[in-house]
Amino acid sequence: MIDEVFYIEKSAYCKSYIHSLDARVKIISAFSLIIVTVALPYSTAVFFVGGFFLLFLASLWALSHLSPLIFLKRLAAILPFGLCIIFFQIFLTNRYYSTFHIIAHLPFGIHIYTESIEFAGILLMKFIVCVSVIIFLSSTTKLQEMLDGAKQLGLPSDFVMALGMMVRYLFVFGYTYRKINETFKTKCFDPFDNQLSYHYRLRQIGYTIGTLFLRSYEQGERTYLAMLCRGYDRHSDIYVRQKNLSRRDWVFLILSLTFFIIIPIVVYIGGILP
Amino acid sequence: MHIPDAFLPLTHGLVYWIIALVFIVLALRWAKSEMSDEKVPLVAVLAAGIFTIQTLNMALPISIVPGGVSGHVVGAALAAIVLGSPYAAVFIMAMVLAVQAIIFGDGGITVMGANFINMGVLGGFFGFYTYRSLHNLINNQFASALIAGWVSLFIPAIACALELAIAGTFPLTIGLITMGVYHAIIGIIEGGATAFALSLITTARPDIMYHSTSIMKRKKRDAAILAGIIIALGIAIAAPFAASTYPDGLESAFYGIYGAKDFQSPVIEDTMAATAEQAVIEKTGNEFSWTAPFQDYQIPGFDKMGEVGAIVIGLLSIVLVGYGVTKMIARQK
Repeated sequence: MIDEVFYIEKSAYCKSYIHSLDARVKIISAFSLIIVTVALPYSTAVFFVGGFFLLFLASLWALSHLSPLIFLKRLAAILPFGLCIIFFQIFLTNRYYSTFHIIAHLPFGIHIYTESIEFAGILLMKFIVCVSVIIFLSSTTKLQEMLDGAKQLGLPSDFVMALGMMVRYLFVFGYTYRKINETFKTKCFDPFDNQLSYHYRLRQIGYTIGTLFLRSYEQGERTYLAMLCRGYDRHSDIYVRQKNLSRRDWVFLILSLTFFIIIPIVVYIGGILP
Repeated sequence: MHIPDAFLPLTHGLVYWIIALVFIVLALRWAKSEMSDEKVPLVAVLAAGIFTIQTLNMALPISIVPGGVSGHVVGAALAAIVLGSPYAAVFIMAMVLAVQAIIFGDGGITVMGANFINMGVLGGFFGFYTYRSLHNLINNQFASALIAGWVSLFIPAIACALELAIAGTFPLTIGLITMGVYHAIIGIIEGGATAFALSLITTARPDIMYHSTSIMKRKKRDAAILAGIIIALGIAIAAPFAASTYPDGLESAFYGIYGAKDFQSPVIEDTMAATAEQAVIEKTGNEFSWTAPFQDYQIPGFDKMGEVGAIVIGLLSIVLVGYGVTKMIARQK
């Protein structure tokens, strides 16, 4: 996962209308969309609302001038755990339906239910919308801008400071991770090679983890000393330049928030559902 | 184990967030008081290291599917053991999980509180206290770290299954079995890697290891209590599935004598049983009856989940009462 950080940041450094929006606007919009999507009741209306949200995200993605392949690749990397839980839903009953109709009988008393397929579909739609929002946010916002935005939105300084440091060193350790993999390959070591004893593989991975831990600890010590040399103390704070939102930031924020509120209301109350 | 958005209702996510925030505040306090404020950057860089550690995958010790399934180390136990406090893991995992959710989409935003409780709080606390109590008892660093690493992954997996079951997105029994079995296997990687990594760290940089024998001795009692909780939780999880629904010996004899049950059969005739109970009341003249809050180890309306909940509440009550009594006795002495 850590080597992805380079590609994500590369996408975030592109130039477009979406990229140039203030990070605060993107954070608020993204989190609002996730909250609205999660809050939607479990009903077939989710397909309509989710569909509209995905269209909205697709149009923003188009405006960002990023390749759809980037989105699809990242989506494929995120999906497995969620898809696993969603897949199993079709064989299970749940509390959201009172009756279940069997559509297929499988060995060992396992059944597939109509309602469970519907529920799995609802979960999948919600899941894809939420994940797409995160992919959109991280692909169009630089990490440092995101941190600055988070601080301006009220994230505690201590946490911003620590997160800022962590994010910077993600890239350093990203390179370290690549080097470790190259070293493994040079030594013909593969953690998945069944010809090697399990104990040996586990020991090598354990020692690598220990080395990485020590490297990061020692890097932390060096960084701390370097910061002390530059006048860092317990009252130090990360400087974030105060910046007012521009008119286009406000327009985007208001339009997007209105969209996130209006669409569910229209679908649920306005009777768009069949 | 990272729960994605939409798998827990918003209200549940909010509750987990509130609990998580309490621990984040406590972890920040720990960072300020124990590590001195200046060392916060050190922990932050360490968090980037832990993030990298989580990307080192290896095959599971037991091949579940042809071709193999991979697992990786979470690192909460390792961080807590080396830095000498579960709050170290809480602090580091808070940052790691935030970055994973917001940048990589691994785990959700609304459910970040739940993920944080599972991997940061439970992983860190169980990992740390299991290691410390075992190390005090058996004085074997490798074995203690191995078991602590395993526990630090297994308990959060069980918690994750419980959260999904409470949310109604995955049934309790299947969730406990699948998550439990899968993470019990991955736990071997977590435990083994933690033990090997720790042995390397203690050899290469013994100075960074947190040592305090006085605290260890003083906290021995706490370690025993926590070890009890670990065992108790294990029993709590297994009990609803292992427990028999048949009547126990006393019930069997009583209903058998009054003809409400055949001695060879486990089935009780309800009407006859009620008549038998009425006959006893008439004979003894004792009409006192009390309905327990968790009758038959169940919480009404919660099925198997209620059984687990009732047992967990019961065990925690016992631990609390035991702790209170011990404190009182110790104060009197």
